[in-house]
Order: sequence, then structure tokens, then C-alpha cells
Amino acid sequence: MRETDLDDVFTEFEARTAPTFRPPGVADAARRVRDRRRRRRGLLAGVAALLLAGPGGAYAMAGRDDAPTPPAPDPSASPDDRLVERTVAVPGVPGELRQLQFVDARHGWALFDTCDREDVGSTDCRRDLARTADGGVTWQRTALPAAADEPNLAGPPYLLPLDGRRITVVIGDRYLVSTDGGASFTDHPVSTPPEVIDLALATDSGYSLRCPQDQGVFSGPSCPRPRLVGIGGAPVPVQPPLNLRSESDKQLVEGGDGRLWVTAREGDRLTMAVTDDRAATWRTLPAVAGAARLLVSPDGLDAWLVGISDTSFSATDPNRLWKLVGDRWQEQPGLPDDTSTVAAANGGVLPVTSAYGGGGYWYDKRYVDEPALGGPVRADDESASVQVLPDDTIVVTGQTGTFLGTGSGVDRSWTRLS
Amino acid sequence: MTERHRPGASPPLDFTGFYEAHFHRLAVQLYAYLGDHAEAQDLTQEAFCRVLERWDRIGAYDDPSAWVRRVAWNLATSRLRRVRTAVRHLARQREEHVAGPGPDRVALTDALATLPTNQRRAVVLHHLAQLSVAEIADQLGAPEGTVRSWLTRGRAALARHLTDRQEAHRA
Repeated sequence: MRETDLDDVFTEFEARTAPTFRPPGVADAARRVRDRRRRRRGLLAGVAALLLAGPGGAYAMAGRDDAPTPPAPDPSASPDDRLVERTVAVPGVPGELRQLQFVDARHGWALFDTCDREDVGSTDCRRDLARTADGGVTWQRTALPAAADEPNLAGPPYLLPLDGRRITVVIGDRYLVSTDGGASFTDHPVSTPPEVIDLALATDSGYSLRCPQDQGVFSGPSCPRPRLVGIGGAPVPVQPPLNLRSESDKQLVEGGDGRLWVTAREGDRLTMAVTDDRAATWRTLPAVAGAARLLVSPDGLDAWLVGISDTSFSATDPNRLWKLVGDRWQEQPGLPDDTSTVAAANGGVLPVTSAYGGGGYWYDKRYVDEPALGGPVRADDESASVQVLPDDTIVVTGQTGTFLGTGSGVDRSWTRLS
Repeated sequence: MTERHRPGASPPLDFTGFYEAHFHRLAVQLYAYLGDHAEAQDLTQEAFCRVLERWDRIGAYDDPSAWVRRVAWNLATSRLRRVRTAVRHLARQREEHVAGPGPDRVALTDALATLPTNQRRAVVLHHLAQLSVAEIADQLGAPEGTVRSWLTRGRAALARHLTDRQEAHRA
């Protein structure tokens, strides 16, 4: 069955099924809300009685248990010594490890939450933040403001780290920002994002592609033509000579050599321009049909095009690969058929994850499995995504843990943190 | 990083209009996911109740429908977990053959029921909620690569199941 046929099946399903539902109506919804409020008042009265009887009981009920947890267990090495396993456990921090973000091989942040991620609107969540400065060997808790524990219908909070000292916790419609390694936080409404938010969303030198009314992580109304801007929205000398429509796929990438690359999708073609003088002059590169995304290695020396899109899904021809040689794109032997995500590391290496779990490297026109990532073990739902940090550390984020690959080329030591 | 719509950017919508505009669409999605018509309708109503409680805030958001969808899907996922879905889901599919919705609807819900939960959720969000990979990843709190692989595998299995069924009918 072709992709378009499957689309038709769903369209027809929706058309036939929608009329079969009989919405109970807004009056019914309002009644349910009133009933719930009555029940909640009753429950609150019960909790108040418990508090009077002894606060310890109430805290236990709310899932707050500040008793120190045992120290993190010693790491265990896998038989081939290429993978070290570490558990991210922080004394005094209850809850489940919900998010792990590294900014380089040594510095990372971990977010813990006592609430089920699907239990939206919970009023008894406790969230904690911890940081590491030694690649995840040790973790230190940083105290989040009480606002981090507030119920949030928008979904779980998430981290926006800039480096080892500056981080933003995005929670609902506010930003909790620390610029001193988590020693203190400031609270900002989304309407006035501090500069650290823009920096976290921008390239290393502070460039971003934005519409005028975009604010922090929230997009404003679409504009006819997004602009390349510097820190604080500062204008650049010359805009890239591309058709940058707000709805089209567009990309801004900065390599470690300071070159800025901008791409825009035009139908099936990827168009590109690059500058090496901070947007004073631009050079356009040949457009490539079938390419979806540009990858640039952290040192900026290697540029690649891949058929796999970052955000959209396509069942046709996703595994094509091109390398920039001089001013021309040369097609390379394709990525593996089961490629799920791909990124660019230094030295002509492309770390790849498989749709069926595990991963490896594409280099020297071929693919090799990385046993530390699971290799040929294709466990169900073990697929992961890959990124390469500015210091060339490879990060593979999966359902069961985060893998850090340090070293160079394909000679890497791997640590799995969970 | 997935961009989110900014709260507070639009005037509050009328809740009744919002309810009427989005109820059916959301109920269809939950039905495809859960395979249970009555439960889909009940959970959709519950999601709107929760949004109604906070409508003074949510109604001012750029896209309140994204909120009610997120709440409804979270409720559905929690419900599915609680009832140990696989067995119950398949049992309900069999019941529904008797209850008599159109054969095409049964064919799709039948096929969806064979998928692992994560794949089914991703496929329904992609095809019925029209979400991109990034938006699904954002809603489910999963890496984009994982979502892409759920879609790849779910769609392949779905197409296989539906094709087999068509061929069996022709034979």
C-alpha cells in the first residue's frame, strides 16, 4: 500500500467516523467542572486535617520526601570496556530523571520530576535540577524556585542550557533562568524573555533566523520573510540571498570556523548560501534536489546534505547523502536503509542511529556499527536520536538512557547515563 | 527545539465555539488510538472539562486546540495504561465487529490495534491530528528520531495489514 493510499484511508476514516460522535455539550462540561470543584474542596478539608495532625504525613502524601537518597552506585563497565554505565542519582532529590542535557563532554544538566509526565495539571509535583561538571560522574543539586513545582497544563517543563553555568527551565508560560550554575534563579514571563534565552536558541555567535514578533521559545505571528539577526535582534549587513518564507523549511548553522550557512527548501530542492565574513557577503551553493537538511561538522570543515528531514517525515528516498567538495555537492554512497537520525562529527564522520535501535558511524563511504550503542541488537522501541556537541562529543538520546561518546573520529569511549 | 505558541497573544475565544469546532476531530483521534468509541467520547469530554476550568488563561493562547489535544491524549494514555490495553483493546475490537460500524472503520481500527502503543499513537497523531514529527516529539516527550522510527515501523505494519486484508477480500 502506497503512502498516498494510507493518507486516503485516514481521511475517509475521519469523514465517516466524526458524525458518529454526539458531544455531551458545554452544559455537561460545566456541570462536571462544578462537581469536581466540590470534590476538591472536600479533599482539601481532609488534607488540612492531616496537616493539623502532623505535617509529615501530608508531605508523604504529596510525594515530597527529602530524605537523602543513597549515593550513586559505582559505574559498571561492559565486557568490552567501551561502555561505562552510570546512574544519575542525586542525594535528596526524589522523582524520576526526566531530562538530561549535555553542553559539552563535561558539563550537563538533569531535570527530575515526581509527577507522571502524562498527569497534566497535577498540584503536587516536585521538580529538581542537578548539574555535573565531570561528564556525569558526580551530580550536584541546584535549588529551583517554588514556581517550578506549579501545575502546568502545557506539558512537562524542559531545559534550555547554554553552557555549564547558564540555563533556562521553560515551564508553562515562564522562564526560570540561572546564570551562576544554578546558585540562584530569576523568574521571567514569556512576554519578556531575557537575553540568555535568545542566546540558547541562537548559533554560537548569537545569530538566529526570526520573525519580528518571535519571543524566546514562542513563535509570534508568521511573517512574510524571516530575517537573519544578531544578538538582541541586531541587523546584519546583508541578508542571505535565499527565498526564506516563514512556512518553509529553513536552517541556520554555524560551524566552528565562524562560517554561517543558511538553507531554504523550495519544493524538492534545498537552496543554500554561506558567508565567512559575518554576513557582509554571501556565496550561493548549487541547489540539490532530494536533499532535506544540511549538516556541518563542529569544526566547520565538513558540510553534508542528507535526505532525512529534521522535522518532517517522508517515506521516499530519505537515505541519500552528499558531501561538499570545493563548490560542488558530490553524492556519496547512501546512509543505511534503517537510518533514523544522523549528525556530523569532525573528521568526516557521521554518527547514525537506526530506526530499530543501536547505531554506528558512516565514514570513508561505508557504515560500521558501534557496539556500545547496542549494535545489531534491535530491541523494540530502542531507537534514539543523535546530535554532536560543539566540542565534537556525540550524544545519543534514547528511551532508556543518554549515551555520551567522547574522543575523536570513530575512536570513542562511551558512557550511558540513565 | 520545537517552538510553542505564545500565551497571551490573542483575545479569548468563545468556549462554546471552541468546543463545537474541535470536539469531533479530537474524538476521532482518540477513537483511532483507543479503539473504543464510548471511551473516546468520554475522554474527549473530560479533556474539554479540564480546559474549561482554566479557560480564562488557555482561551487567550494562540492555539488552545493544541492544549486540549495534549490534555486529551494524556488522559487517553493514562487510561490505556491503567486498563492493560492490549488485551482489552483487542477484545473491544471483536465486540465492535458485532456492534456494526462500517467495515472500513473496523478495518482501520483493527489494523491500528495490531500496532504497539507508541507506534499507534505516533501514526494517529501524524495522520489524524496532522502533527509533524517535531510536534509529536514535543507532545510525547520523545526524541524526534524515536518518533520517526515509530512512524516508519507503524506505517509499514499498517500498510501490510490493510493490504493483506484487501487481498483476502478479493480471494
